[in-house]
Amino acid sequence: MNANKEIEQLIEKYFSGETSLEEEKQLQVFFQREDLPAELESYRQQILMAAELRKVRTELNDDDLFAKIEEASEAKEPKVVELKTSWQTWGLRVAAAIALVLVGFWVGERFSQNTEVSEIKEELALLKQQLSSNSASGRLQAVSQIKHAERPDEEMLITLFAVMKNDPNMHVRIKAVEALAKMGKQPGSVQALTGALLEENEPAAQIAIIEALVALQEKSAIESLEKLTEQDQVLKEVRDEAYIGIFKLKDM
Amino acid sequence: MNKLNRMVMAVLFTAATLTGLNAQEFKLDVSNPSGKTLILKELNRVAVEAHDGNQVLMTSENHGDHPERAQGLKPLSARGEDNTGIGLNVTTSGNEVTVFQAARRSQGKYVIKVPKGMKVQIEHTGQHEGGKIEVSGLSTELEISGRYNSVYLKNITGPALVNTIYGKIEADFASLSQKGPTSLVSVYSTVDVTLPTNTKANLLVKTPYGEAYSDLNIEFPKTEEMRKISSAIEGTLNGGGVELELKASYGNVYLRKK
Repeated sequence: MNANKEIEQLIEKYFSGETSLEEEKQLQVFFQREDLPAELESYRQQILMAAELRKVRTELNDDDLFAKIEEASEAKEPKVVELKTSWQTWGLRVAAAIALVLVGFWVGERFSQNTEVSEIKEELALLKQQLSSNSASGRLQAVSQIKHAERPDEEMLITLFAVMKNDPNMHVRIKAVEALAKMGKQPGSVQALTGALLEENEPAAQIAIIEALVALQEKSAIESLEKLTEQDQVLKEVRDEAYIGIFKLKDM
Repeated sequence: MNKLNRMVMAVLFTAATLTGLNAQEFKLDVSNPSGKTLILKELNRVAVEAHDGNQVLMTSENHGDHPERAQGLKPLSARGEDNTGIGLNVTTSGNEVTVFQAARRSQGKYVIKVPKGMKVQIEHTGQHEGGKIEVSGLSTELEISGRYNSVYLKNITGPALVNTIYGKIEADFASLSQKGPTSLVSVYSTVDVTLPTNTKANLLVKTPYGEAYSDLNIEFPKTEEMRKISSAIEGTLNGGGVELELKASYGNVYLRKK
């Protein structure tokens, strides 16, 4: 009982983005247990998937970047020892100018990406905090206000996958589906959508997922749609919607 | 005088016990109701009203009496123990009070009076049973999820998240809360909403296989491009405000002014 309380506090910290690496590891170890208390079960996937991702992710660090710049400029250095003729001097000067401009662009690009990354990080932290609220309307608002929809980072995607699968309120789950559809094809999103489709019980949400898969123009979803049409407990209209989806995807 | 007094007392007492027996009431004290949530599960027919005071009052109407043979016996139910004597099971945990119908009573109706400020969640997942869900006078967040149930909301403010599959949704808003989005979804039936004319909202109406009707002054976004052919109608009311989503997948949406 006591241990659970500690974990709950950690989860709260995690969602407000205040956990240290050590604490996150502790959470991951805890959530690998088979005998999770029922009330914590819904967090399992989110936390384990985030851990999985962290392993995969390779972030471009500054050393790498400078190594690349050095490599580039080394490659561009002409191997001329004597600088007698004027066209050679001029050539070198032009090359240097071009190299400088290129480096300028590179650094500029990197800086602008950096501010965008930090904006996304901020947005994500806010989203996670709002998602832990027990107000369904609050969670709905949080999901519908996601701004960086064109270039979502992996953690944002994982969070949306978890909401789509685990949120107790149907309206919130549908909003997550719609947000994913807006983001276009992203790594893992088709898989997550088809997985959620076969687990979802609410017809309105099932229809939203079918629409999202069609919008993503993903032929690999056909198999899951076919599976849905074979399930007797699924409403006829939803199965019809799946048939229409299959038809549209095959036609593409 | 003394005699009369005693008689009046006796009459009053009998009347009180009699009505007490007939009304089938259960009271639950709730300290500090705002910030707490009342969760109603599997109540086949239920009317929820807000009232002043710190009690949740539950009454059961026209329930079937137990047969004579059952005297001295406790009703059994696959759903859990009836710990209120009126066919309901009530448990309190943290900030949540959960009430579920233990007795079958497919036709019985419960009236539940809720302290103002308490949030209400209503869930009904039963197959082929489940009747009206009525809520009136609530100015807190409302979550309702049904399958066969029709939902009638009166004099509420939301935010309200309501979904049902076969039933209709009728909602008459006293005003529309700007605290968070409101979303009303019926898969097969009608969504009929009445709003005060000064309501501010970002409106989204979806009727993929049905029609939408309104007498409200909806402002549509001005675009140079040709409007996309779609069953989703987007617009604003009084310059925009909180998100208001109305969806009837196979039915119609009606949006009226008050």
